[in-house]
Amino acid sequence: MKNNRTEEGGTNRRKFLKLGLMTGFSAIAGTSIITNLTSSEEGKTESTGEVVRLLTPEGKIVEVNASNINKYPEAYITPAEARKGIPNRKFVMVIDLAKCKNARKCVEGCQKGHNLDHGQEFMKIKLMQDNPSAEPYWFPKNCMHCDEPPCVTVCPTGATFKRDDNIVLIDNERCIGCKFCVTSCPYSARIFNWEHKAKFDDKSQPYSPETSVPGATGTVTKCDFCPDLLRQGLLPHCASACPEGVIYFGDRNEDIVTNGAETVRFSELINKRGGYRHLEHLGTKPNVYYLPPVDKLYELEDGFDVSEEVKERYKDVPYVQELKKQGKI
Amino acid sequence: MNIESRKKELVKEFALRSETTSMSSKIYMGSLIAIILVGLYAFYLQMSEGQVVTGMRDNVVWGIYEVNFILLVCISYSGAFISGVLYFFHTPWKTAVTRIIEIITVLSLLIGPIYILLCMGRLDRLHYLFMYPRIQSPITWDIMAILTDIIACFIYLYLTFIPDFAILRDHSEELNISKWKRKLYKTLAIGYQDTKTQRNRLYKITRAMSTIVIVLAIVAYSVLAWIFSLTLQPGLE
Repeated sequence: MKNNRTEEGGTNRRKFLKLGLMTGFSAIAGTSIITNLTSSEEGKTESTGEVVRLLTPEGKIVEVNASNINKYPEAYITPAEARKGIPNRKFVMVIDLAKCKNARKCVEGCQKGHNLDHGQEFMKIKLMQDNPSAEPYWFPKNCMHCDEPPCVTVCPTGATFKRDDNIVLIDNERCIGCKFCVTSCPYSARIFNWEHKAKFDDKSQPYSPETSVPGATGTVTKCDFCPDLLRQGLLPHCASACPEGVIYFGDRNEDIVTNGAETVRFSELINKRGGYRHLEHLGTKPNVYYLPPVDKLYELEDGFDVSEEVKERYKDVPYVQELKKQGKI
Repeated sequence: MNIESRKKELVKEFALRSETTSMSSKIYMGSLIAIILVGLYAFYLQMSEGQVVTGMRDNVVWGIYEVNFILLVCISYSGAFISGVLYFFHTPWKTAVTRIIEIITVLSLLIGPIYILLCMGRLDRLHYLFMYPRIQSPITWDIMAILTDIIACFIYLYLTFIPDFAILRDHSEELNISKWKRKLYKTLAIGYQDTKTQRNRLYKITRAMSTIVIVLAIVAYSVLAWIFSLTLQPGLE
């Protein structure tokens, strides 16, 4: 009896706390969205004495000082909370190689979103050739967020972890910098912070594994599928930045992926277009799918016009040298 | 007796080094210390500027550090194996070789893990290895294996030294050495009097340890092989 009662009390209290937390979170999210709207409408006024009237989810109108709210656009997720994942989601990415022309907008968008330096790329675009008689194609490559991640297996401290929503994240407050995960990743998705940078000292935004910002010296970082944006119902930086709609992002449970312009059934897309996963034979079970580069929308040469850097990068490739001789680049 | 007089001769012949330090050995030690100081300065540079000074990048993340670690652990492995096998199979000329090999084994095992520490990006978080250990990771096992190996090899080395410490203790009056050295020999000899039972017991323990050292060397190196079997990065796989 006694036990039952205490248990009941415990669950009740827990429920109550949960409810409180939930309402708290939704209130924060709600206020931030409202302020976003108002600020974008009124044109950003940053006077400190301004008072904003807000409608809370409970239906009350409150007056809040504008400088107090909307410090972060999303609710802050601590490293401990970041280990749980977004409930009932199985995130998946589909990259349509037939549409990619190496515009490099995904790379730039990602670098801007994650405060990366030039040359530090979570999303890389590689020139790929399957066999000598096939034409090369552009191959955007990020972290595959594998279901059997070798990096998570080898981590000695549990700094990198696999969440229920398919995302593999790094907690750089736990990372000891042994770099074992860098060597264990067959996709070379991981980047090590070799030196201290001034941006690491910028503590205006508290560290969360979901944003990977700010970085820390001597720790590993990588593509994180932008869970901070996913919580707000937005697409990752790379998917929203792509002008060609190459990158589809979605939820496997809902069987839906979208590139912002069109929304399609994931299973249908993969079945119809012959979707495959990179290095399937390793058994890592990636969550990034590729649609083969058939009936390409753009010529390979178009990708070289982006910058001199790209031309420089592939100047030793025989195929590229051949193109140069023909005067196509 | 004959053995006693032989012991005295031995002490006279070999114990001179514990009495005085010659000039050449002082210079030798000084130069070694100088090299260590250069290394410490390089370590300071690496700590203050970040690992970028090593010249390693994302495609070469371990580089010479890991190579040195493997080399030294390999030396210790072969040393432990050779001395263990020699002792285990009663090879007649083992005593001449075993000691050198065992000292090399212990020293290389002590120096090897230093390279791993140098290779780590965040030395200040070293204790996380024990705070949040994951037994799925071969690194956790590597730490255990190497630590056990160091301890076992050290015990094995010490066991073979006990009779010699006893000799030095018994004849310390004849040697011109300072008091603390005499005390040291006395403690290190742990009351070994070279009686028949003691000798028999020491022999049995050493034999058991030689087996353990062989097994541990195999274990430690298998764990290393496990680590390298999990590196799938192109170029390392």
